[in-house]
Amino acid sequence: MIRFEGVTRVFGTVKAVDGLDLTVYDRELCILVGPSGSGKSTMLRMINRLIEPSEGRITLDGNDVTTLRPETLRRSIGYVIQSVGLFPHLTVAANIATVPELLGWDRPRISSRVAEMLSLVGMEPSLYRDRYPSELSGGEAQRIGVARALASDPPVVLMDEPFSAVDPVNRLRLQDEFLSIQRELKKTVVFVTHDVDEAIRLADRIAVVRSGRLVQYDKPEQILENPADPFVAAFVGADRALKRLSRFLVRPFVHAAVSATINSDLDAPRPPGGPRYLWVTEADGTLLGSLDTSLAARCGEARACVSEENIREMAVLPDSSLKEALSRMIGTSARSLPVVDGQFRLVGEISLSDVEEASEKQSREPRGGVPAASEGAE
Amino acid sequence: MNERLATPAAAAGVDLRTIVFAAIGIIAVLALPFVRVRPNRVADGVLQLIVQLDPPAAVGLALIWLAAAGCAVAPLSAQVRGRVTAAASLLVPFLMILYAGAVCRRLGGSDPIARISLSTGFWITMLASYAAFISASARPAAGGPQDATRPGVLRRRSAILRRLPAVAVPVVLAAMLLSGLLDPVSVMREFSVQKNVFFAETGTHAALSGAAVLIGGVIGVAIGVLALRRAVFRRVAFFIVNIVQTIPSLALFGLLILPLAALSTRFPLLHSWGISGIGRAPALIALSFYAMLPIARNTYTGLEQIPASLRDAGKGMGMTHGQLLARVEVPLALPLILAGVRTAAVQSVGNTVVTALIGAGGLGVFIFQGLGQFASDMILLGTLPVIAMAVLTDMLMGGLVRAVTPKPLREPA
Repeated sequence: MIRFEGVTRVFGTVKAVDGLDLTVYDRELCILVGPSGSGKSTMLRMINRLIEPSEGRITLDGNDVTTLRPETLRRSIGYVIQSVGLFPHLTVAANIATVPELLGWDRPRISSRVAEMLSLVGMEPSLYRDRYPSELSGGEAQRIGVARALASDPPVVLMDEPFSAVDPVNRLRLQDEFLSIQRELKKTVVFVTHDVDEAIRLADRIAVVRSGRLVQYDKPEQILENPADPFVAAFVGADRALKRLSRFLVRPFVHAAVSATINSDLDAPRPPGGPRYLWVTEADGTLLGSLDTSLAARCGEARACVSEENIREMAVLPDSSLKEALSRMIGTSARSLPVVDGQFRLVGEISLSDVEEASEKQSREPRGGVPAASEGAE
Repeated sequence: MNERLATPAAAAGVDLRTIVFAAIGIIAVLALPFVRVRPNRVADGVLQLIVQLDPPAAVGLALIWLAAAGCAVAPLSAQVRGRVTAAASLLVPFLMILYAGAVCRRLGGSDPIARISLSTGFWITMLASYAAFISASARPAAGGPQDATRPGVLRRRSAILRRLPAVAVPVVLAAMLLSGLLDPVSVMREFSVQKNVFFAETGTHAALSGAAVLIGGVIGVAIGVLALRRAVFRRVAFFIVNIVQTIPSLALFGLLILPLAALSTRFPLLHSWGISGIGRAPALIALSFYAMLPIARNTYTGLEQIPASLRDAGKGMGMTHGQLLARVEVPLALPLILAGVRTAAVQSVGNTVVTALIGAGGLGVFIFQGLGQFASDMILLGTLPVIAMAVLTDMLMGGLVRAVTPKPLREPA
């Protein structure tokens, strides 16, 4: 547990941090978000004493951080920065080994740990360990940056805008990968960003910071639902209802789909008053398209009327977010969407009313801190 | 390699460069004076051509050139042409040096006062050979079809061949010097007369320039490191060092004479250490100043170019100041710092020549004596080892810089 108690930091005449009281809970991903210059980086850097507070104190598991030697403290805290800061003259392996070496681990232990870390961030150890940073792409370098921070298995990790310098597509992938690592390792993470969407995607808890002060500290859903003041409301954006939907998965709203298999029961007589649309699948359940039953009568054979266009744009995964589902409904003018598994087999459907229900249900507990997989995943 | 490109049609073109160099070589052998023979070291001399001294030798050398030129005209592949040219341009200087020794021995071997020096024919031949060899081993420029015919033979496996002249020439020269083959050449005559003084002054020269680089290095690195920490210090220090750099060395010695002389008379202890207005003390001070600038500047640049993010990352991961210095800053800045030392050392070897004027000794002694006495051999006796020392320093430091450059930051060989 990291606790800021009345922490103030003054640079010259500017109060970069002004009377901060904040508790970061164990094994949570806490994101400090705010406009640039709001003092969030200063807050982060005071935890590992790269900056010392002018007033107040910071405790780590109850101990004042100033009681430790700064180097000792820092070696027990992972540190990832925006510009990655990989040492260009050292191999990937040597970069990852930095803190274990400072801690005096023996060689075999370091070597196996390096391999473990590379696998953790999804990079083949034999392929990457002897490369130099100049031979890595931006995304790869940042993965190594994360691996380096986690190498000594620190309980606390500080991340200062770690994914901001990466292009948007890679950023989403890095965020997803980091989330799955975090789900597995459950570190206490303090993460700084100015990107609200990133904060909402990743955070267990968001601290909105403005001019060195903490404006609101809560779970993302709460911040989206009840912004503390007009600043927070403006900062999270007018589309906060949509952003909130991004915190919900499709999975709990999936219900049984009305479907027909293309060869067997497509032309079977349908009772009147049944649903107008039905999903059409192969015998093995693979989604093929949709059928408008009101038109089926006019086609000589029902299969000739099966509409296959749009079906790729309509289908969502159980792990897609409701925001994505809503977007696809709007994009394809459909009131309900087929939900498919990874093999594109129909598993159910979700309708607009489900989405409405979700956004109305203020008290519904969203999946705890587990946001959706990246949007557009198919 | 270029075999595929070097089709007979393409190779039928004429390799103009080789022809030009061969022509120069032939003219140098047949029409230019090879040696100057003087009855004593200040007298005017008589110029002699190889043709006059030894017609068969002259014809032989000319024929080698002719062979290279013949290949340049004949419809041969670029590869063959390159090989012939390279061989000819190595063979000619080798024979020439051998022959020079023999000629000098024959002409002046008996008379200890007589001076025989190599003349234009010899030097131009050396130049033409060098140019021909470079042209034969150079990479062909990208572009025109004509370029494909140019002898790019030595392009790939040229790593050794390209360094061959750089290694072969000094080796051959050294062997000849040691074997006494060149003893009758006038410079060597001068050398044998002044042998003891020569070695003493060479030692002084090396010691003076070496000490200057050491002192300038220590102070220069300190200035560079401090300049990084304090902007005010940086401006003041670099202002002073830059100004000093613009003062001609002779003037700087003059400027130092007065204060040092005053100090020396005021404090007898300093005097007893050998510090006075002239001599080694002012020389060393001035030389150290000159060595300081490149080292200070490169140290500053070397440290300054290290991205702040690396320091932040290193510190943030728990490196102490010492660890950050040893693991990050020094490895990344050292190549540049040593490149500064390299510049300083080469300059220092040259600058030390001038210190002979204020009685500090060194190889400049011969140069200025030679100038005073109008004895060109004496000038050469001072100049040649200075050049050798500078080249050697440059090569050694170059190797060192490369050795300390971290692998991923090295430029490909």
